[in-house]
Amino acid sequence: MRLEDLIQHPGEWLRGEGEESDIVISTRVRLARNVAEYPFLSAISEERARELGEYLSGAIEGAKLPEKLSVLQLSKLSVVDRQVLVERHLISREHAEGKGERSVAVDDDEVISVMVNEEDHLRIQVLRSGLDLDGAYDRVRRVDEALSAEVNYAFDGKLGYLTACPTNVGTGMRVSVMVHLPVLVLTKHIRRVHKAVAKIALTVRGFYGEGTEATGDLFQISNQVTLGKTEEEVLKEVDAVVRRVASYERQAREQLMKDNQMFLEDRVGRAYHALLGARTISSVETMQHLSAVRTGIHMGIVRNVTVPCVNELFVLTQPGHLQKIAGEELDPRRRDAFRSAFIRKRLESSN
Amino acid sequence: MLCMVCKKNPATVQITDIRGGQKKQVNLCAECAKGQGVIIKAQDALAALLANIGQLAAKELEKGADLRCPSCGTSFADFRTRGRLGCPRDYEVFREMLEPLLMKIHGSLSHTGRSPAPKGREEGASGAMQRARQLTELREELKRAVAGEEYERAAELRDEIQKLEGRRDET
Repeated sequence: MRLEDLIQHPGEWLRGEGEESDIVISTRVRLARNVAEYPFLSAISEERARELGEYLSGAIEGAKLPEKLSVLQLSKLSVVDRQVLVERHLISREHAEGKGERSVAVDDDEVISVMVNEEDHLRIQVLRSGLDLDGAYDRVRRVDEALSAEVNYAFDGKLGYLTACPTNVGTGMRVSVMVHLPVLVLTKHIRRVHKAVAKIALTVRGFYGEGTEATGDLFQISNQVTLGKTEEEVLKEVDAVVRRVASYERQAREQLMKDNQMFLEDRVGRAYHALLGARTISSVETMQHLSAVRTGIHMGIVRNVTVPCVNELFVLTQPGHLQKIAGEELDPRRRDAFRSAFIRKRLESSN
Repeated sequence: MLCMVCKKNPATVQITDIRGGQKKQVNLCAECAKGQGVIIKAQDALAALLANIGQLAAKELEKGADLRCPSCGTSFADFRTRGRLGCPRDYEVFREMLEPLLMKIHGSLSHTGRSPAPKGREEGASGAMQRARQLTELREELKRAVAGEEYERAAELRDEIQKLEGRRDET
């Protein structure tokens, strides 16, 4: 697989389909796994890390799976290419910036990604559009089982799957659901979400995970606990919280339409025309306006733009993608101009 | 990132302060967070974990400081600075100190989820692992051969390595 091919089509998770997809962008389930015979990455020598990387790449390519996984070696990729993988949510920021022998294996639809030598030896991830926890988990479990035929996992009868950080020990499973909550943010009711989520030990994180600010009114809802609960229990809990949060957002949207439809139409209309009329635009401003347009589509205010078009723009207007599309490195000033022209073209052709 | 208060220690505690709808991010080291009397509402589990380690009784920490994993050489002090363990065996070696942390993070000490599927074949290194190990050995031998100026042997080894590497690329 070549990154140039990847750029041409959006990942499966941006389709804008699936359950609750007016509010839920995507569902991700990832499993942390380690090889029993090797130290974790904080205590491994360079030679052993290389050996481990080669071993696991071989195991992934040899795994009996219906999907073909292609291994990309990160040390052989440019900074921009690695950034593209981060923006597509195929690898973490840490993985992109890390050192030594690291790789990622991805299937053609970009549903499955397996990071090798991230914080753990293996990070198996499945990313789906909309709310689909069971579907995503089923898929990730099949990859996990196929790999376990080739790999002797570090597993303890009492503590479960052993991970580099004790926050992942047990199931090694982290579920993250990305939700779009523009009206809860607008009406300053986002605290209700923090409350709803805190009660059952879930965390809310920004668009690009841990430690990032939410941009474009996008949030991630994840489980915190990995020990003492079964995978099914965790999936069920996250599912319930996401549905509750989605219903808050829906209520807030209805209420706002009733109380102040003009205010909302004004906001959405201005955002849409800012995207069309701008000649230079930053990525932060882009996210804000796209968020408003996406809201407008779901509330019947914007009719000539599709949800997949907006979802794609969330990712394609990020710095790495823009430079890949332009085919050259762009400094921030030229990037803002290029971004603006790109958005205009996309919106007009979606029209 | 350094602690915003003492500007000396690395910031391990991230606090999201929400007041009147205004969000402010504060990054502190565990010491200063405690010194400031901040009630730590950690944003992520790791921050909670590290903050918690900072609060462990001094006695327990002293006991832990001497402990070193015989497999990977990681000490409990290393874990405290890195926030990451060194190898699977550390869970056994540091069990006593880790248990209160696990309890704090997960509210449990027992895994109830899935186990790896039983292996259908003999235990031991898989083909992929054997090949990777062989490569490491050959590379080390190559290094030694070059250092010892045995160039004929080095050339042989290089061919062997390339053959083995090529095999993976073909599949």
